[in-house]
Amino acid sequence: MLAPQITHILIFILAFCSIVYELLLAQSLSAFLENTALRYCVTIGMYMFSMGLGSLMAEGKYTKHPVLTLLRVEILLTVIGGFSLPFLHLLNMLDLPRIAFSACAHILIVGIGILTGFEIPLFFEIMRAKNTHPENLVLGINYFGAFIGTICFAMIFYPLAGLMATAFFIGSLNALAGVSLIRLRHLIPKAMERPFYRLFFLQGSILAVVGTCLLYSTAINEFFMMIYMHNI
Amino acid sequence: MGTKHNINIIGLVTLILAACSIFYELLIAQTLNALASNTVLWYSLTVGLYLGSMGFGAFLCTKLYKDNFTWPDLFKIEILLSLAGGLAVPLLHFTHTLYIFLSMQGLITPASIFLFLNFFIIVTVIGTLTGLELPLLIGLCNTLSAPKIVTNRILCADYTGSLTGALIFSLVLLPKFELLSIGCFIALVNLSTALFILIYFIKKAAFAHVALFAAFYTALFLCLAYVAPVNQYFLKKEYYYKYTENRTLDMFWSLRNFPDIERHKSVYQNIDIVTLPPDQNQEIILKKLISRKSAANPNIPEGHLLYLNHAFQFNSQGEEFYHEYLAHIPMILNSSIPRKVLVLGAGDGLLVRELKKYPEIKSITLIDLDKKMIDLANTHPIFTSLNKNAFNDPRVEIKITDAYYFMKNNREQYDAIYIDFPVANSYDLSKLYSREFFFFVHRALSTQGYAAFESANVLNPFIENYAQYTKFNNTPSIYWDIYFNTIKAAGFDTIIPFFVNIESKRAEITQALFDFIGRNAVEWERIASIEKVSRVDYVKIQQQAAEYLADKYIASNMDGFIMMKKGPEKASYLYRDPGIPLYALNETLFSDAFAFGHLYKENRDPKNINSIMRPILPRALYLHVYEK
Repeated sequence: MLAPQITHILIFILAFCSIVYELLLAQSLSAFLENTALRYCVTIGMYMFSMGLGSLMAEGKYTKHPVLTLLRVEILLTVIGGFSLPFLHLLNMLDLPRIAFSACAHILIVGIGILTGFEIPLFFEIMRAKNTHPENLVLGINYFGAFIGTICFAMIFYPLAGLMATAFFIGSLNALAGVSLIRLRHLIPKAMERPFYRLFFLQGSILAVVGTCLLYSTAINEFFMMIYMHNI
Repeated sequence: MGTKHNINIIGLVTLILAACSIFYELLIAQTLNALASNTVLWYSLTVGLYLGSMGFGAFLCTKLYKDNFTWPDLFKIEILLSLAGGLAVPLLHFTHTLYIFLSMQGLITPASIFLFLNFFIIVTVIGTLTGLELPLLIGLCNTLSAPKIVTNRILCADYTGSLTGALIFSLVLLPKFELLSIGCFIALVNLSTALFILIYFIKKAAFAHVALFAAFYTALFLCLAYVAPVNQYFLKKEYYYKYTENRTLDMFWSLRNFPDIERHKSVYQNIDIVTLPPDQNQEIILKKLISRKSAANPNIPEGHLLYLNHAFQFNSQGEEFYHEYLAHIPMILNSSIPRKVLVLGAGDGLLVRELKKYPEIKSITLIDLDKKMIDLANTHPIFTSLNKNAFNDPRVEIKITDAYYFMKNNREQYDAIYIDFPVANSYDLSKLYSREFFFFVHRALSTQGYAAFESANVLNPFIENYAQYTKFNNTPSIYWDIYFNTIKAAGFDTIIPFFVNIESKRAEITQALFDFIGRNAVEWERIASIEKVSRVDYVKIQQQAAEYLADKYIASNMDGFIMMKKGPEKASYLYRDPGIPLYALNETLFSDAFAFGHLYKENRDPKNINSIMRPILPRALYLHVYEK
């Protein structure tokens, strides 16, 4: 039997996290480079484009074991998105030419977009067991999660917490969502159980790491800002 | 093959419609950003609402059409979208105008709710219609060929259209065209796509269709042709609202007698030169009273104001106060005159005009982002007569670049750094008031060097005990906290605030206002309504009114500045004659500048540090308050 409520909550949380990652990246690029309006326009455009790409790529072998693939996607998202700020800082320390820095940062944006695009077809598969046409419900919750995510970013996270703490917080939320996939373990065939539990523990350890980073986000931010300011 | 051909055409149609759709979204975000700037807020809200309503539209699709998708359905949606999209920008402008007038009546909360509600409705309508498009297009295509392949192709076209639209908007359209024009143009493209659908797929047209298209195209072409006057209409409503009769009905008057706004559009900002209406002499008379500039320079143009992105920068009468205070007070406080000066911003040339008066200054380097501003400063007659061809000097070197990145990569040292940027009402400007930026400034200063800038909105905690000023000033007190903590965190140990305090001129100001009220019946009516007085004892009331207005005038002129030095120093506020011609500043005004004392804080508050990674400027909901 399915647990429809948990999948609904998962779709919401993952959509929420995904859009906040993208807004974070738009804002970070605005901090490291310039021209906020341009950054937001380009990020939004690339995000929608790569989400489309992701949806298109998610077929065949990827949808065979949806829960497993979803967990893999969440692990990747947590690492790429949750640690995006430290990554950009480290990248900035390398003193690359602007275009190289910009390209790397945009690879992050596209990467997160593609992974997000992957999620929706996977949720279609997961929910098809109970509901023959889950598409509208999935899309609906997805859009709603994105909507709430933008409001929370603009009015809560960004002015109160700053970029580093927001990245860690969303990463933790994302990792929690990944860990809660264990509630869907009844959907996994016996043969795939071992790999699933391995991934589960991996996600759990990532959760521990990103959670600790969240607790020390102020110190980590100060550390990187000192390097940023004194960088010669 | 016919089907394949059709699928490709539908794909192209999808691409164009997706681009139009994202154009509308970004247009709306940018329009509100231009009117009530806070880029992060408006863009984030627009994206979120848009996505939400697109989802709602997708959900509606199955409810409305069940599984029966027809081309006329899509056609109807496109007509509605063209209408909604074309009207979006003018509607938002109109909403903003109504907001201004409601705000003037004191109805700030209803005005804000009204603004948000309109924004919400416009975005939701366009988003929902857009959400209906995609499932329709996919469904229509499915009737032609194998569903899975087709779905992917259409999705791909849709997402490519979004990306292309976003890039074209930000890189091509926005820097070059007015928002009203862009809106009309996109509506045209959308409408033409609908026409194409009618001709190619529906293949039959009734008379109603012909009439519809004729009317629509005519309307849009008229709009495009008349963009300039319509733009002027809205600009005048915004800049001249103070000079109307303050009734909400005024928003429907054309203000044809008021001078046109001179707008220069650069890639970075809208530069507006506003000329005061000819009968607004009060402001000019008062300024001439308290400053010697106009008497000494009778040829200087009168009554011109500069706005950058709708934010006030200076008034041709009165700018000497701002620039003389900023340039010379730190110079007087400092023990020596700097040799090598860096000026950040100040592309209008007025600050450099002041600095040039010192022969001891051997080099002035000016950094400004906007080449258009420098060109105007060098060639526009209003600017050149105000700045006296300031940049035409061998000591002055101009670099066109972003000040933040210049300072970050700068390794040179300067004896003085002047910062003259617009007030931080957007993230891009907020970076220039961040701990990181001030750290770079600190690093670029020699040991005895100083930096100075205008600090907006810090007045409130200083005038706490001055009731005659506090009644006109209701900005929150947190700004001083933010600037102080941010500058301290950047490494500066000496922070000296000073203010334009024309209290010493009170007698002359009150007398001039007294005469002015006596002569001006309209002004008298206005004062009578504010003070709720009767006409008994005419002279006494006139005197009271003059004193009230004098308080208001003195309070409104209190610009705040901050000077910073590296090491800890005990500031000695002794006046030293700088030995150069000054129109506004004098010894009394100099000591009055420090009359409010200092609010030094021992304990730094890390929460109130403005950083590029955690910006606390601008304050979250920056909605301008329009007062009478």
